[in-house]
Amino acid sequence: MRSVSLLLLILLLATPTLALTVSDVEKDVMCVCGCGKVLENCLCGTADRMRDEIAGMIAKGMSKEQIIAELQSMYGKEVLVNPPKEGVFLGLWTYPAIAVAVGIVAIYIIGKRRNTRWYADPDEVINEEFDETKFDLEH
Amino acid sequence: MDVGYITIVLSLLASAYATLAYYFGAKNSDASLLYKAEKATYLTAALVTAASAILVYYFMTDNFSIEYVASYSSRALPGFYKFAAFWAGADGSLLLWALLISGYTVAFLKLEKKDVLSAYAMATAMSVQTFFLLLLSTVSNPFQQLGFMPADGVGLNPLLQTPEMVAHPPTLFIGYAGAAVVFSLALAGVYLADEKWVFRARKWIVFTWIWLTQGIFWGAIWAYKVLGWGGYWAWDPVENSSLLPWLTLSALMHSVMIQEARRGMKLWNILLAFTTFEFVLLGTFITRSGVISSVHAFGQSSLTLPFMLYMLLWLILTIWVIMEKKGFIKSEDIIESFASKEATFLFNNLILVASALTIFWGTIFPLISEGLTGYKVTIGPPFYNQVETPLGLALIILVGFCIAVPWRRAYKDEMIRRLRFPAVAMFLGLVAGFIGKFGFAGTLAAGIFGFAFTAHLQQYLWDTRAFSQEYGTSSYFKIVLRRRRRYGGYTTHLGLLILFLGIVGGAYDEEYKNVQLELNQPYQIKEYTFIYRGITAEDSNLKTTWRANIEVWKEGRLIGFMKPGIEKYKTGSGEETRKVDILSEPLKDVYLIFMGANENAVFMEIRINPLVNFVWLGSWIMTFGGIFALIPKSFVSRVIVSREQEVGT
Repeated sequence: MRSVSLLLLILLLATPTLALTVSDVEKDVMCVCGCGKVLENCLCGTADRMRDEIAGMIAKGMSKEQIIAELQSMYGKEVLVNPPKEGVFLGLWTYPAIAVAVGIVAIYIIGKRRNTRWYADPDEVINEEFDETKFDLEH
Repeated sequence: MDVGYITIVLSLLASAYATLAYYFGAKNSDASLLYKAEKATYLTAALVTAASAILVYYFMTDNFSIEYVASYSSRALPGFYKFAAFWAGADGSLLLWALLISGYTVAFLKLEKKDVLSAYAMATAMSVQTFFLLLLSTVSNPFQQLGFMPADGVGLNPLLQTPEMVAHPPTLFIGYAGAAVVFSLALAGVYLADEKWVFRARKWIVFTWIWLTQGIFWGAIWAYKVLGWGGYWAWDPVENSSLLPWLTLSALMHSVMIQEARRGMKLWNILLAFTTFEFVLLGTFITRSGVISSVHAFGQSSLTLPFMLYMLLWLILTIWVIMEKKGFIKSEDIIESFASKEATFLFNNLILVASALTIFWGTIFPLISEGLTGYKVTIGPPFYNQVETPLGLALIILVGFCIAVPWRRAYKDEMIRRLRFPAVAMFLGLVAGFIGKFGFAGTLAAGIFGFAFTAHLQQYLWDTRAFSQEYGTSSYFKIVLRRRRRYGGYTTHLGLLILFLGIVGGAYDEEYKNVQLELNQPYQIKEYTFIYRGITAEDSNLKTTWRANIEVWKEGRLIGFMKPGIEKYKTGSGEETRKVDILSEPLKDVYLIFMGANENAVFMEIRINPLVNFVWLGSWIMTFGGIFALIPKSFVSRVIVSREQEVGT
């Protein structure tokens, strides 16, 4: 079992990664023409110019994070598709993790309580159609 | 005063009376009052239907003295779209809501047993109806008169002049209105401390879910074919608001089964029903208020305050009912073992609700950020993709687990027996993903699909064999009909898995290019060759359309002619829209957007979208699964008996 798990892990980790492209970056920035679209969905002249700028930065060997930071310094934080992970905006990113963590704790607590009773398979109930008289008599 | 408006006011009075009569009739066990309430319900439905018919008549006869008609129709608009303009703005949408709730309340009276539970549920449902009729008779009157007759109307937004948009709002709103019925039953059940509500609500939950699925499907296909940006889902606020109730209702559909089986999850189920209802109110409000900018939002109105207050009112009332019925709400324990279907349902509820809350959070965050910082931040697809992708993958794994694992508990040997083939399929999926260079998430998705699909296939075969022995019949037809809820569920899951494949395919193998196609010169992208053959123009009273004629070749064979267009409307403010053209093959769509032209060339965005058909197919299969699960027992009995008679003769 352990060897199978190891093999699965190797397969996943060995999956090839691709070089940075304009497409990788343009999905994370807004077009600054005022259309309100993500750059990858905008087809105006401004969008083409921004793509050229991104292509130039990739050619210089900049990473995705560096390119987005550069674009932010050029156009302001409005260029970001998502707000930065800082200040009040940090709540946006931490909230989902908190929601899931709270849910897992709740399930753990529910799962520890085992004083349960079995009434009926819900799939069986529909085959008999729910009989209210029977229900009332039983409970 | 317009006759349509008078009809609305009368229906408001009838609806308000019905609400009070149901409540006091049930409270005082007054049968005659309940009888009157029933009559008032039918009267409300008749009056709302009449008001709707009057509005349709005004649209069809170009009565532009009515402000709503003048705002959303024009003389040149085809009759089909004049009819659909009914729900193009806030006022008509609210009237559609009222009309659909009327349908639900009448159906409820016809289908449900007439007892106290039904009476309280009807009181709640009619109070929802009253709210919408109150809006229609005050801040959102669709029969508001201009005081003069304009020569022509402004016209319908060109983006709405499509068959998909004719289908999208009604289907979604049928789902929305259904959520009101589900909530009404839940609230009445908890108020009366009556467990029966979950059994009664089941068919309404599934019915509502079917229509929410259809509504989302039509919205997605509209975005894909009409908006012309190349995809079907962009995590737009309005798209999100249609997904929210679908997620919570999907959770409820599973968790009510735990209440049936264990008498547990009582608080959770009422909260899910409540949240679903609040989300449909939010969805109506966002789409029609313009409070959050969206490509799907049509109309600005003064609905913000009434909707906010109404949602707050239900929050307070629901909390009050829960507090009052603390004793009933206290659930029994629900788990014998973590290796059980009950446990997998808990986890799927966690994922569905966490997804919904996250999407809700992202949708309203622009308003929060504006309040806190004065800066209305954009929450784009990367946030949702980053958060929802792991949740989605976990959900698909759970879809496999919840089918493979039995109710109550499974011991170690049983678990191994049930999971060995799905595990092998998962491994093969990972290998296929690795060899096919799907990328990390793509490879993981292939493995997860293999696991979940095999778990379903295996359970399907085992169940069919077991039921065949139990019923003493080899008739597959009889078995699936008798066990329609189970097989309906399997079918819905199968649809979800196919949808999952479609989403993954689009995410990991999409290709697009902005190109200049020279006249009669071939241009190749992937296995497709495109040849531009010239432009044609069509002119009508409504619009002028230019179409680029493109031949598409594949492996030396002409596979189709494509005609993407640009339309310039003559009504309204002369909007210009792109009419994309899609050449759909089973595994790939060729998607062309006409951007512009010069004398000898056209500028075209070409997209090769893989597996989009899987998204549509998956949605239909999910819908079919839901319908199958809803087949009534009377029909099943009749069919089985008649087949047995056929065999006998």
